[in-house]
Amino acid sequence: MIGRVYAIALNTFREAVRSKVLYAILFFAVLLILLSLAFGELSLYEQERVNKDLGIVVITVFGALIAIYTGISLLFKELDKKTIYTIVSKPIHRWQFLLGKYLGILLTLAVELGIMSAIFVAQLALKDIELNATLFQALVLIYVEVSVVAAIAMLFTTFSTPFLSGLLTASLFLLGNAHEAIRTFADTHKSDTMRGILKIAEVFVPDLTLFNLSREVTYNLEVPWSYVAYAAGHGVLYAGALLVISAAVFGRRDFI
Amino acid sequence: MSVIKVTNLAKTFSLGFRRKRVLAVRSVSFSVEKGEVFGLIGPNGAGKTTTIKMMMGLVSQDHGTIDILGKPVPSLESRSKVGYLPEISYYYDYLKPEEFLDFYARLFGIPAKARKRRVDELLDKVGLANAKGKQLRKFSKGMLQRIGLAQALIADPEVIVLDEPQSGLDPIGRKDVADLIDELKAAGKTIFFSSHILPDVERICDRVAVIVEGKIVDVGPLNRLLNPRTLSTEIATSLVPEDLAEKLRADFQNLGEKQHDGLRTFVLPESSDVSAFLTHLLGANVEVLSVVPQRENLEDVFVREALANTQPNEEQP
Repeated sequence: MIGRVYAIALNTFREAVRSKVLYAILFFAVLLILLSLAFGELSLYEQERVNKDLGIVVITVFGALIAIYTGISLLFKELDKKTIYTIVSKPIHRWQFLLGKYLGILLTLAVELGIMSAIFVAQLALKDIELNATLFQALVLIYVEVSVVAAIAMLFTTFSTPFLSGLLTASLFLLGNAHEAIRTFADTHKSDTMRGILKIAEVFVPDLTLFNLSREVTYNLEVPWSYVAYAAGHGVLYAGALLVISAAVFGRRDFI
Repeated sequence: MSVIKVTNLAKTFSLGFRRKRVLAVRSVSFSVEKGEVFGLIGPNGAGKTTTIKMMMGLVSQDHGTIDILGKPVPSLESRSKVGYLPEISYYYDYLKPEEFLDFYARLFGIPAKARKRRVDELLDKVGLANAKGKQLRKFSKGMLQRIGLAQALIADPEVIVLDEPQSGLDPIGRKDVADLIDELKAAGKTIFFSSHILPDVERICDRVAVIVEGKIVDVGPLNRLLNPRTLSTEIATSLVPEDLAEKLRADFQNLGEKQHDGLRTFVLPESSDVSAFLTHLLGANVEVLSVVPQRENLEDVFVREALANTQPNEEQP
């Protein structure tokens, strides 16, 4: 069983690393991280804060972009180009295929985020900015966040078009990062209807603020590892639930 | 026991935003015996590919049952000894052929050493040993079809299902595929394939099923489906004196004639006495270039069955 999942994951990873689009996204991400150096220089007394802030934002946004792109394109291409016919007709469960795809995407995200993070950390080290545990904790949680985003993108792709999947995933990414605002409005909004809608949104929109440690990084605040484990566990459970739903949808699907 | 047994298969798709129902397959039953080459033929939209997709577990059937090697479809067991070549024109173009076949071998759980041996063996068999190290994006259509066939054969399957394997290939490519099917048949494999290239089906298949509008309208050995009688005889000659031609027209009713490049071809209907006709020609020292009996071919059967069973104005997927 593991061999088959591994085969799908390896093939997915190969496709990603041989895709020019991902290199283009990565190039722009690296460029922006390096540009944060210049922005840092411009701010007289806030150089460290600006550098760290921009770096974390760039890695999060580009990480999410890559997660949305890979989560949609690497699955949709199998359906669109009909290579799925050659897979599903082999002695492999459909859920094994989806799991393999997701693991391949996670590996791709790990490499892409690893490169961005390494450049970010190297750039901070060159500027003699202190590298503390919080910084690494933040990078770990960004990885968990983009893993959840990739799982959302995959779920939508199992039953929807790439455009709609991209739109919905990007919306959930933005709403998920504004989860605290949704919660506040859900409690305080004047309209009963809106409060009802916001309450539903509060339940279904993933709370991505759990993975956001940018404030702690900027102000060098300590974060207990137990929190990191809690947030990561939350992310794993959320992504796992999304994968189970994806597998259920995918399992019932006719490949016309 | 039949290797493939399909009973009362039916499938209706709900397509589009309005979930419009389209009947794809309404009544399909047939069985394929061990070592047979079985062809499924029918016009576009008749339900060939849908039937194959149901056999391979890509589409679920609404009604009916499918058993492959005694295992019900869909199940992993039913797919474990089956090789399948779908009608697609794209394979993972970023992979090299050895990576491509290794990937499919892993899906069958073939151990590493055997995998390497099998990949080399198959690349050799389909004539792609020299293409190692070259990404599939640089392959021609014929090469892609051959690598597609190789992935279908990766686990040395007992049953091979080919959906339009010769589609889009040039005559040499089609001959290569036909030769490979002959080779697989000689090795005792059971082959099921759909095609609309009827001369190839006629050459390769032991039995044929004709599907029209989702229904099997005829199934059987080729010699039963094809009318064994001579429908007409074409006799090509060089110059024929006009008085002899007049006499032949008078003696042989419904005699057809074609003239081309100074040659005259007579077409004698089914009931004519060919020997007597030839005696007349040879007696007048006319050079007889060829005598070709015309029998019904698969294309005639196909057109006859399709026309007889087509209901006008009914939409097909």
